[in-house]
Amino acid sequence: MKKLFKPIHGVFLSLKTTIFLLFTIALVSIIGTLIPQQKEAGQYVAQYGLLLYRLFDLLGFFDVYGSWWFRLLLILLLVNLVFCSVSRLPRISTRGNLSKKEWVGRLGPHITHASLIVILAGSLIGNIWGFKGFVNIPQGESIETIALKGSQEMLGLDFTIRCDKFAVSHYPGTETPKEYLSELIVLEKGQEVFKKTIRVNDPLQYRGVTFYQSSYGFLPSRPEERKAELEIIPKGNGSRSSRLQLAEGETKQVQGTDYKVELVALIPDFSLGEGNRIFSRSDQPNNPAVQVNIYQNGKLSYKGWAFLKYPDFHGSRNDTHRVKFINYSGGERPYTGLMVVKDPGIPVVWAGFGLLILGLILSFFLRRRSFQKGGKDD
Amino acid sequence: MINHIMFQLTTFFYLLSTIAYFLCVGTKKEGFGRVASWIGLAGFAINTAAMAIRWVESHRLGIGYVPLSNMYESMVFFAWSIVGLHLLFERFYRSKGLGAVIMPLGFLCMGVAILALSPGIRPLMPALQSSWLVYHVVTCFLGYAGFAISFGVSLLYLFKKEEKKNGILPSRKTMEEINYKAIVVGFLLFAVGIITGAVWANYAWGTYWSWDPKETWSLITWFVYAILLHMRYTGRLVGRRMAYVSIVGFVSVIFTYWGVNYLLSGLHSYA
Repeated sequence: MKKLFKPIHGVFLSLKTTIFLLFTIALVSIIGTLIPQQKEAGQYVAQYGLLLYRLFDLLGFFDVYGSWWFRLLLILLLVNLVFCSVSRLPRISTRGNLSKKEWVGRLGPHITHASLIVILAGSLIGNIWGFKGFVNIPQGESIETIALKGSQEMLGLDFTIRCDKFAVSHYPGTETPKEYLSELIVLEKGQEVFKKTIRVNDPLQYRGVTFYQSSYGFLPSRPEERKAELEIIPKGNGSRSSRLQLAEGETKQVQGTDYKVELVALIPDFSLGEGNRIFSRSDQPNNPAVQVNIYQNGKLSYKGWAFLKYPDFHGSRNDTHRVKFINYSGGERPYTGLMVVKDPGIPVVWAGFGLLILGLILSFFLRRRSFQKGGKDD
Repeated sequence: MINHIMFQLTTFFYLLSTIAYFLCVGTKKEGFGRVASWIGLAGFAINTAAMAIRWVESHRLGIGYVPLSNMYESMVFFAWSIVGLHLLFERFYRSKGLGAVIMPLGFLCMGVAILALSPGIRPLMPALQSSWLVYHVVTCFLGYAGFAISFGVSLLYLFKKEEKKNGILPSRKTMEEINYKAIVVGFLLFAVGIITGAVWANYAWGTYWSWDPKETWSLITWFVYAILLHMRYTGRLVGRRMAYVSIVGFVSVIFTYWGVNYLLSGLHSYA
């Protein structure tokens, strides 16, 4: 057993192994930056063809950093680090005739190496006891479960999250988004216990679970919630224009006049199909249009279309009225998309980061290096 | 835009300084080197002022951000870092010859910025609105500047044929030491840069490491220099070999900085 152990021990102690592993990890990492990672199979087949797809899939090139061989390389590097650190430990304990500064400086490489082990341990803790997930909350609604990333599973939270408001603010006079804001409320047993407006770069944390502003969108409206605001301008001298709000199929008498307005159709995304068939391309208010009938003394006197985005479009000169489509309220509700993360390894990783910097500073600035070896030509 | 005009002026000063450094090495007269340093320092001052003015101008536009957030701004900051670090090294090692290889790099960065990149001040997207942006960009680019100096010295090392005592160029031994010191500075600052980037990513996206091409390439670069340092500590990397590996390291830096943005796709698309 000892005989078998010794050569292995030797391999892991060797700096050649360290350099070989660092070099190999760097080299295979490149693959993952050239091939887009963790995409749909169809996309890969389209890009590389079926044969290359099968080969790359077999080799794990579509998830390099999650593949067994990449993990193995990291573990080997870790083992190598541990062996090198442990074998040099006796030398730290004996200070000998070193100055204190020099002695502390000698700890530098050990702290650096230990910090890498700490960082990897922290990421392992996160992988085992943490989770990453996603949830969409429509404005005004609450959620208690989230969808876990990379699986079909749902995960129940120990508390409820409500989104009171989602908003996008823009830079003045532009369409460029400045901030995405979600007003979030944490509830436990129906009681509000915590409240925060989150933004990108400013998440909410509660009981070890963090909610990050990640995306947003709109829920399609129900047709009965859609409303159009119209301005009706009767032609002829001295007639006053009037405004009214209508839903699809609704008819209203305009106060103080002898005419009624019927909203025959309200289309959020007006489009013309084959044979000039009118249809709505989507639920989104991309091109809202209305079809309006006006009845005067029970007789149809006006029939026509008006468009929100084309206010200059109107019917013939002989029409009795002009109809302007002023405002569209679709009743679309925004929802906020939140990334939900629990990572108990974070403090460990942060500590590792701190140790790494400390170790490097000690190694580089407290140790005296001799340059006798340098300056020669090979 | 006053800042853009001042950056053009900076470029001109770095060009003049480069020429003076060339004259210094060509004629072997220290005097040219002193002039080159002063012109370089003046250019550095204008470079600094231009960044400050750009910051003020961004506030005047109602956008208000630290100008370190796109390719143009990162390039002028890279030039600033290279020239600043060069002036420090030059003062420390009292050698004018180095400027002939380092100052052209500063000039090149500025030239690319003002000729090829868009100087417009654009509003910051929400993900970039964080004070971590400043810590991350400053440390990364100071680290890159350390690697740039290592690259320049390595080139010089390879071109310098015989050892002469009284030359303008530093001795090969000194060059090797400068190379090592520049890599040490770069390695430490770049480590801090990667760490601040990771912490920031955790605030913005909820994950400190996602193997995005930019992240992966920065790790590859860091590994290349880690290999270099380990080989050096065991005495296996001296002389020309050290210079060659340093150059390989800098190629990796350039790919991390430019290649990833223009050849690969990923999250880190601003600079």
